[in-house]
Amino acid sequence: MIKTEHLSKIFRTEEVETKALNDVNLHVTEGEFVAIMGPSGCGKSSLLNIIGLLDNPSEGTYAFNGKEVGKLKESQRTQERKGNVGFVFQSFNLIDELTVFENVELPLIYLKISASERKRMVTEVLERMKMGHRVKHFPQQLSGGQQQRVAIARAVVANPKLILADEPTGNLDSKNGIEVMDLLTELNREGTTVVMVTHSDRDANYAHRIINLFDGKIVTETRKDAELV
Amino acid sequence: MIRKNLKIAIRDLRRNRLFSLLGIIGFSAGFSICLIIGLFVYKELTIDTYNKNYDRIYRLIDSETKNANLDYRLNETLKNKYAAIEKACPIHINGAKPWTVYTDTSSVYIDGVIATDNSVFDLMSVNVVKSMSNNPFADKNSSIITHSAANKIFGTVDPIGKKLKVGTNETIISAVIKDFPHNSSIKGSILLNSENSDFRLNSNFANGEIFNTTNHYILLKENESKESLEKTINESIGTYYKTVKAITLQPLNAIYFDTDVIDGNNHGNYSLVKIISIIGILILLLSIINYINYILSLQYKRIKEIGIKKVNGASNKNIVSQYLADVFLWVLIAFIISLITVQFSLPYFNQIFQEELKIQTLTTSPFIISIIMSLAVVVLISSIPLAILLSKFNYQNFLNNTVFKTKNKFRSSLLPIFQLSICMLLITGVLTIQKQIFYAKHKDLGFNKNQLLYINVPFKALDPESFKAELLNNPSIEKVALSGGTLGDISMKMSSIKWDFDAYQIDVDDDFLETMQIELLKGRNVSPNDKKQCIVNEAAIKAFELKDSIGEKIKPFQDEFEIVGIVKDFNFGPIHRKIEPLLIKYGINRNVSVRMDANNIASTMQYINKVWDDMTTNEPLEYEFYDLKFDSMYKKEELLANACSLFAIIAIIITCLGLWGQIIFISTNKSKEIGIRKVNGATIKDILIMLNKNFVKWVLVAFVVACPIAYFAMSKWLENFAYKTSLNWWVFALAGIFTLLIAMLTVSWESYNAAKQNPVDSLRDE
Repeated sequence: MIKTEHLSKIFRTEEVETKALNDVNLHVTEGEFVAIMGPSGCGKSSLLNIIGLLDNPSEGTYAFNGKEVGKLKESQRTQERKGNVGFVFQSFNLIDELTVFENVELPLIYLKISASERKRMVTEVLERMKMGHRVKHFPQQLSGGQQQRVAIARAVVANPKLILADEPTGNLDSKNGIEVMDLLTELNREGTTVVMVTHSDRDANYAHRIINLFDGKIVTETRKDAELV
Repeated sequence: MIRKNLKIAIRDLRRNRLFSLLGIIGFSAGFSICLIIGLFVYKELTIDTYNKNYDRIYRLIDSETKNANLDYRLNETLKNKYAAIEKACPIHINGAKPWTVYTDTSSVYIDGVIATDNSVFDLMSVNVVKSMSNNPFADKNSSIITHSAANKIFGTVDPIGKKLKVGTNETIISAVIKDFPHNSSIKGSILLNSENSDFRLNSNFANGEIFNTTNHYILLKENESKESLEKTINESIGTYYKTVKAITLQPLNAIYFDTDVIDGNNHGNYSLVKIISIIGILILLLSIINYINYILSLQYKRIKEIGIKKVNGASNKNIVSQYLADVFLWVLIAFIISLITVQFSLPYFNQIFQEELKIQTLTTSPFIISIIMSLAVVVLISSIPLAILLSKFNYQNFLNNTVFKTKNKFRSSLLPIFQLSICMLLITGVLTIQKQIFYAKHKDLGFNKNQLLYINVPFKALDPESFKAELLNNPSIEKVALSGGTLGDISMKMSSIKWDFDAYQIDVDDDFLETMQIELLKGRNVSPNDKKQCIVNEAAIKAFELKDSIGEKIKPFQDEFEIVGIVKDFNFGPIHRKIEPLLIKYGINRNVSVRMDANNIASTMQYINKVWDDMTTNEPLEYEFYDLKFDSMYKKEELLANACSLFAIIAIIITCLGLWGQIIFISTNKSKEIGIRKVNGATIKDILIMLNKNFVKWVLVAFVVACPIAYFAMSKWLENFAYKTSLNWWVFALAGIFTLLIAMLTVSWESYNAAKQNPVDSLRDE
């Protein structure tokens, strides 16, 4: 599903050039649960952004679902992303002005799905996330765990093949963290590919495979059912 | 402390460079316009107050007919019979047309001749530059000349003692005075001594006698009341002056705006002053709103700053003083920029609007007070957001970061809606004024004003009939007519006790109707054999309530006239006036109208000049084209339209600055939301729609708000015209579309930039 070869990302400012990713070769097959770990600034989020089609690599190739997407324009990336990729962020990234229902509905609007169908899909996913009783609430009225469940609901409402989670439990207490990880595992079992960036060993253990990044390079890869690769 | 506060304020300005610039430019532009409008309005409202005793000077007007031209002999009565009058002075201004004045060697045109006597120097603050005797008018044949007229006629030669023929009056110049100031309702270049009855310039016919008329000005004694003098005069006036039943004392400074009174004074347009003042206030409001927007856009940052300061021990007083330093610096910079702008732009304004506004006027106390008050209002209004912030502030919220989320949709919508409404109002105003001018210029006047020339033949300059015959020898001259008075300023009136209205009268020859291309509806043209016959217009038929009009008799004076023809109504007076009853009689006069062939205007004019030169000696040819004459009657409206257009453009620029600030503010605040939406599939188009949607909504609300106000205001303005254009729906629609277009153009670039941003940047965890 995801295949990168010699992927690099360089950030340039007037004075400094930072190589966030350096020759990254990554292969994720459909249905996998992959955790990306590493210290702050090692390039985890940059990699996730490129995988999620939010950003282009500076060098190398990136094939998503067999299609080369590394050099697409922003509008083309948006089209590729729509309905295929769901995002979950550490800081939830819900829109404060919108209700729970409207937040979850957002990707469906841009997919031009009819209002009645949207209502059905949003209600269904919120029920599943046990947030059905909170549809009319605003994000500020919810606890952190609840907000993240809404964010996950939004990420999966369009039934994407891939969920990208950037430290999904980073802002949560352990109980809520475990609940979120259980949800992601459940989604993965149902066939959704999950790529997650995390600092937490506990969360990483939910994954089939753990990739360690350091200074923009993959240094180790560990399979849960195998030894160090 | 003050120095430190100012230092921080300067740093603040520099840090928020873009917003500061937007705020300061917007405010300075608005404030400059306000100052210029203020100068204009101040000048208009203080006309004639340069006279030392202006508050004691009055003019007599007939209470019934509103006529200020009263019997000249009244002057003696006023001087001698009423103890409350300190001085009385006759002043007749003949400013309607240029006068030809002759020296021994040349002749020139001069605007404005005044018939008055030496008492004018006791009454009005007229400054004598040079005089040959103690009294500026040395004797009955004296004339006085203004400084600029002296320069025009004599150049550097001393004019004192020189002969000057004004029209047909031969005079000796006995004094030179300073020009009348620009804020005077009395204007003229030459003063004739009206003690000489030949120099009185105006006469009237009533009760079987011809007598001179003039405007009577009086200086009321100190501590005397105007009302009691009015009463005393009205109780006794009948014994001295039979045709006036009652007079009113009109204060000198009320003359300028009173256009109902028939006189030769320089008049202003009060509705114009009102409109311009309102525009000025609106522009000032626009600029203040921009500033408030600027302040509010920094509000979030400010809450944080206030929080940090308070946590570190700052009192409300410290915060307020820092804030006031900010505002003070800001207002000071804007004010200085405004002054510089006014200084540099005033000459252009004076040129465009034919004014003589002076920047020095800003140093007069009314201005200093108004400026200080306006700036105080700005500071006060600007302090409201801070006061609200301080009153709402609590540490808990600050530490929890929750106060940052407060927002006020009403506030953020109200200000741009207000700005857009003003914008639309001004655009509608400009469109309506232009439409009215276009309508008036192209309206059917009832005669054909094109290729029609008017020539004034001075008394005894030549024989008008031979001149006419000579002109007709040129094949390019189609028709020539002689008349008494010209279309556009026929002012000769006659009244009859039988009628409760006045009828105008014009004497014409038998070529007049054809030359002017006036349609004869019924009956026949005037003929040289006519003695007691006349033609009337449709308005007269209506007013006289005549049914079988041809052959009917009317009796304006002692004589009875038989109606022999009826013509279609045509504009014979000022264009703003409704067409009134008119009697046309046969008579040979000295106003020549020439209908020319459109193809040979230049050569025809050469021919006319040649004929004129051959038939006259030392007499300049004085002519005017009718189309230009009628178009120029809209000069005032055109100036108003120009002023409105200019101010509308400035208001639009200020509004654009405001909208621009607004979109920057919104897109900065919403950058995270934009990011989230983009991550969830929104395209650039979706984001553009989201960001611009509010502006479209605001324009729509502004449209709803502005339309009724504009409709009301413009209907009121159009009431000033006897013949007016209609207020079409498309004027409003056009203003709306134009405003929408401007708003979209202003915000779209910034919206596009915001929409284009990579969501990765905005969603990066803080």
